[in-house]
Amino acid sequence: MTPTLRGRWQTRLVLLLTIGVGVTAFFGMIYQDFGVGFSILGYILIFGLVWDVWYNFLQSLRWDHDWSPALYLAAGIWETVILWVLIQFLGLPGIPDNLNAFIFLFHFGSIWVITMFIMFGPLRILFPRWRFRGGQWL
Amino acid sequence: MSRTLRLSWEDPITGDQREISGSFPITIGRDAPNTISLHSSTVSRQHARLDAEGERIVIRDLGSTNGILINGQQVTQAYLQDGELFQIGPFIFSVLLETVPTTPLPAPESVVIRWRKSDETTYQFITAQLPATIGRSSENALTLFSSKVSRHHATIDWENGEWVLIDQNSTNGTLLNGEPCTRVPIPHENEIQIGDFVLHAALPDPGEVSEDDLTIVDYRPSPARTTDPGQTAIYPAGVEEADVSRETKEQTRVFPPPILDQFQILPIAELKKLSFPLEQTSYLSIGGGIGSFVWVDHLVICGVKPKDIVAIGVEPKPYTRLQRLALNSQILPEERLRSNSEACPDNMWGWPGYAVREMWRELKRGNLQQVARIGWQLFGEPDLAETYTPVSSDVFNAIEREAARIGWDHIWRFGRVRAIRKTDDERYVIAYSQTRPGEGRVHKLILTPYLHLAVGYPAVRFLHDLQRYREETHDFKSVVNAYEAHDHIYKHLRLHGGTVLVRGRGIVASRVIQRLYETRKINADITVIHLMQTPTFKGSHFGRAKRMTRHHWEYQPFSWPKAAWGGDLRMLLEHVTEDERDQLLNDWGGTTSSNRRNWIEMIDAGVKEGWYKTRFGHVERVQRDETTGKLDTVIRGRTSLEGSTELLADFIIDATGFVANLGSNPLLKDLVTHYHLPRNVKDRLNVSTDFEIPEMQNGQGRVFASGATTLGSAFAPVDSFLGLQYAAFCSLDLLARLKAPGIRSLNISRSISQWFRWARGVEP
Repeated sequence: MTPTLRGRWQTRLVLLLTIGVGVTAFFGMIYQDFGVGFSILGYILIFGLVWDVWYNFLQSLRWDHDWSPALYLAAGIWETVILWVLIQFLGLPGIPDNLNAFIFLFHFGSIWVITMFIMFGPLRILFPRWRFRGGQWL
Repeated sequence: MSRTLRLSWEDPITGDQREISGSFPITIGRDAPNTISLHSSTVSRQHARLDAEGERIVIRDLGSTNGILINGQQVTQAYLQDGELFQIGPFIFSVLLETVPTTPLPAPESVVIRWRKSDETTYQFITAQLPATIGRSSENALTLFSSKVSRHHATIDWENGEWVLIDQNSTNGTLLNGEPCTRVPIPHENEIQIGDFVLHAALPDPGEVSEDDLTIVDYRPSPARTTDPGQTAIYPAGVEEADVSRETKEQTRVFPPPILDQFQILPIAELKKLSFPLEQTSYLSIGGGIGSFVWVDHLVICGVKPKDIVAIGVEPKPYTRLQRLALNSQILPEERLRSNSEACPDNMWGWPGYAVREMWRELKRGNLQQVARIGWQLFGEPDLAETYTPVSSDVFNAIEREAARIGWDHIWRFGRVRAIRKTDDERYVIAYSQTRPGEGRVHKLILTPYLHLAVGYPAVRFLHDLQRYREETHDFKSVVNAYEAHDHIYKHLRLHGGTVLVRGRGIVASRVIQRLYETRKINADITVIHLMQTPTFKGSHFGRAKRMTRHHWEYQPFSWPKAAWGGDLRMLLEHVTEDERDQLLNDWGGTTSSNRRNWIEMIDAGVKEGWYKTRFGHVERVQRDETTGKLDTVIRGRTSLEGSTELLADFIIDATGFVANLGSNPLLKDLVTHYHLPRNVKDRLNVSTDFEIPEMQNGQGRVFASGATTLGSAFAPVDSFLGLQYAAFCSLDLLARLKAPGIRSLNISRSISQWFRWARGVEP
């Protein structure tokens, strides 16, 4: 994939508001608590918009200006670690300090892996021009 | 006696040759005021300057960032010798010094001819090599398409110290300044009339080259220098040279009809008077190759009925020509093409790509190791794993299936297109011939409001010195082009061993050397000499990114950086000036090979074991060595590194690629000439971001073009599978906006439902 910065932002927004919301609602039903899950989703989205600027810079160092699934996954691991550190050591509004690490990891991981498969796969069936536009719709 | 300098260089992307000769100083740089202005980020604004110092010519670096390279060494100042090469950024200059005696005047080599149709005001220019032949046949240096012009009409030449005009027994004669002539000296002030054309020859006094005469000429190779080894005719993809053999017969039988040359916009009433069958269709694609197929596939998926589409070409299968070129260049059915998994001419969505399909097939066979390997490639390319590329037979089989699904057999028809003209009912008329060898002549006309040109590469490039050797000796066995069938070389080497000289360093050179490497395992007595113009130590760079270089090869997964297809680089190219676009194309493209691990290892092994040697220099000629009987490649002037001036080999393989200049395609040449179409920065068809040729608009009528002939417009990877798909998307979106008949917009629901039809293999 060869996303542009706007493409990264738009794709993150669209995928988190669809796949992300679906996965979070599923987790919310299991744990009977929707607030924490959606807070985490919100942080993935908001921090992500900043991370995307950094990824976009890293991408420009690559000859092909491309971003492989491996890099997408690495970015996910990085974002998980940073968000976990912030929750544990600084505390983030809407998220309890005693958040279960396993649930957090499972929630974040599910969102990330599912969006990865959708993004590098069948998203093209819905939006055939998306891949030519660096992930942008607008 | 005085010395003149001729500098020649090639466009790094298209390979078109450019040349300059004249007086000093010559400055080279990126800025326009330089004598030679070059567009590349590795060229400084004021880069270098050439001066004459007595008999010698000196080149000086003007404080450039990336320097001047001679034999790969950076120099700040150097005396240039005859035959020497120097490199500035991606441009390699060859120096030719000619000693010019002051008397008698030397024969000039070319003449600049200015010409126009008599009813028009704008002139066109051509620099023609002497003798400059003029006529209706495309073999001439200047081709004038008109029924009033004979096949070989006239010649301009330099004889016994003067310019002469010679009429070649033409039917309608030649006028010089209003007087009929057969053979006359040409005065400085001249006006030549040939049929309905007016020409002026610019005649400089040779030997007296002033600052004003310093001209950069782009001379196009004549069709005689290019061949398409795959076919008997040199014009593939549905294009044929104008048929002029029957011009003296009754005018109504001449094809294409002379009336086509008399109008910019043809009256339909006139067409109906002709004796040729006149058909009509809604959509027509010329070429019949992968470009046509992808466009037609998108049309059908967007709702157009196959009965409303016509594709004209010479091969019944859209992939026949590509398959033949792949086979000749040693990409056997089980070998992989340099293309991406998601670039699928048979699937507009690119999903599932060839990698996923190959994984599925291997899974069914229980080959889990292969499944994991491809999965890992998809996941980690190009950092953790080698970039995935599809097996060539998988691609061709997939196209075959899709062709059957959309009814390609009913859309395609055999034909060679001869001319395209606007008509007065907002359409275009296409004149084509269905004449096959040994059959009677069948000429037809067809009208369409929406036309698509995807004629591909007109010809295979052949290095001039190799072409000259072949023309002189008729030895087509030991000097070959990599795109010709040349299995006999590998067969011979397997039995007898020998030395092979390879020219070119692109993907095809890699594959040829791989084939030689494999043959070496059977017979170790095989040596490869890789002849390059100059060494490459530093790869191209763009912004903060750099391209990989090893053993003088430059590597990248595909022929352009990936983001040129659908990322920031594609968008960047749309929003720059023409000079900047030229610069970006020069920075991103050029001759590169694919960084496949086995290819890199093979070259490493060859260098270590000594059976692969690189040599550098400018070839003067190729000849048969009398004593050894081998092919002798003579290098001009001082040679570089450890080289001798002559390289002996049993075979020479030219792997330098294709020619795509418009002049070598008679159909496009005629179209560009007739409608004065502007050209883009690479001298190809100028298309908009919708892949439309704006100057061809005719009321509601639209003409689109995609593929190699559009290189230099706002999209770089035009000749790739994915590039052809992108072009189809863009032109179809425009057609949907224009509410063209039968086209429905490809929105989410249509896209999903059509994908399921594709997956089930049912018609769109």
